[in-house]
Amino acid sequence: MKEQSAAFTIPRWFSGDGPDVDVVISTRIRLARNCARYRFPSKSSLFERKQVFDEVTAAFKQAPQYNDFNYFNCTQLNKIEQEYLAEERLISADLLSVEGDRGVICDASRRICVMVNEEDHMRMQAIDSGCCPQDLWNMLDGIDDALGMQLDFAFENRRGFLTSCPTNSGTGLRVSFLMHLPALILTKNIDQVLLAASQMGVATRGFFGEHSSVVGSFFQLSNVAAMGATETEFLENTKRVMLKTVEAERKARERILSDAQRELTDKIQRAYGILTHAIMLDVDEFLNLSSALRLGIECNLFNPTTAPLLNRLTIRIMPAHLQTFHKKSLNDDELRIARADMVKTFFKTGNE
Amino acid sequence: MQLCQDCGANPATVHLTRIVNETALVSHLCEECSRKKGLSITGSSISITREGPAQQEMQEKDNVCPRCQLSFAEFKSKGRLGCCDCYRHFEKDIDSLLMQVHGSTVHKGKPYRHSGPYKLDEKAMERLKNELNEAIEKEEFELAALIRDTIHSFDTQNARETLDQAR
Repeated sequence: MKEQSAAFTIPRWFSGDGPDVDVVISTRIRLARNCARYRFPSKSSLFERKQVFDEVTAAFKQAPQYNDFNYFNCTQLNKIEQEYLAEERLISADLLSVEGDRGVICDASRRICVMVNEEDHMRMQAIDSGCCPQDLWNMLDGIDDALGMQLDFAFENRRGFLTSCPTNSGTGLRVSFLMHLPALILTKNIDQVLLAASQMGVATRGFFGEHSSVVGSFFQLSNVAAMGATETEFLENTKRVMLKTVEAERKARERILSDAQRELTDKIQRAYGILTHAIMLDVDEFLNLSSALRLGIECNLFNPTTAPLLNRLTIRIMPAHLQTFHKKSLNDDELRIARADMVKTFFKTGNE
Repeated sequence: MQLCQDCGANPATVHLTRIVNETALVSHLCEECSRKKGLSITGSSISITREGPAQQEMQEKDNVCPRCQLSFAEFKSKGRLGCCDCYRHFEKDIDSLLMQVHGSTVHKGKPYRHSGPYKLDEKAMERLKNELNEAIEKEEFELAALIRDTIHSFDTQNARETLDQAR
């Protein structure tokens, strides 16, 4: 395992080729773990953070099956490089504001990563395209076992794995599905569907995770409780609610197609018009307009070859990705212009 | 049948109502857990205690986790605990929070065994658990509580000793 300065690829979870990917963009599972012998990050000293970081990376080196993993220490990265990792969902935005040794250990395809010294000592994450909770859980379970042999996890028989925030303790598990639900919004059924989800113990968040607003018709559905049932039961319950939501979205798409195809086509073509002619573009505006194109592709009203393009664009037009592409820091206006330029070129040539 | 909200295993036979800040907090416990909390009443009963808001606030500020110095007031404002010992130090408050969030205070997911040298080995733990079940069957509740506490103390002791060793 070696330390990385920067390695820039499109993460696999945004490839757009998993099961049910017409509605479920990606599945993500995370486990929260802490080392018993150190205080949680909110109270730990810089020395303790260094110890935790070193112990976790050392534990990875002990496991031969994880030899090809790389690690990033945020103290060695500049601000844009750190934001780049956050845009790839390898680290959280919260990690950027913490002091001391912290970072992430991940595999080359960016499917598995372990974030170190954020809210908890470890946040293990598995993420991939489409609906695939079982595969991801199997991978994560293995990593958890391997690290658990090397490290001394904070664990009690009664309350399970102990975490910095009691909302995560027990299994430390959260499964979340990133879903694209434009038809439920257009048919005004979204509130009803999400209310039903919340009654089944499933919470809804926006595209950028906790406390984020709804943009681009993207929603993240995830389990609320983490204690009192097995990991498989939490996965199954959340999946059941997610599949119900998928069904509702597909029905809503059929209804729009039979009742309002002309209006939908108009919306899609207008979105395409703005995307290909705008001089300046915000991230939110891009996400909202590209949501219309995505819906168009799924309803066979728009060129399907643009689907993988949209996925690539969605990550490419984020601020740190744009600045890395241009190899310089850009202010807000310059970012909007660079974003509109990139989108235009993409639609013209299929490349940046 | 309602189960004890602390251990989740035995039927709740003790129902406790506390009035804090004009709000009634109701807890349903089994005999064993109620004994642990210092309530040696058997059968259904209600006991009412009153705690004023000022008194409660003072307690939250003064009550500090010995390992990480986090006060419960600080936890309430930031929402983060300082170390794994906080779970034991603020046991009552945290358990009622766990109950609110998860609807349970008992982990049912994958087990975990420390690899440290101070861990009681599986056979010895198994024996203790058998003794515990036997005591419960014979209705020797005082003995059962003692064994249960012993099992629990091994968890605590292990963590402490590992910690001391690290220091």
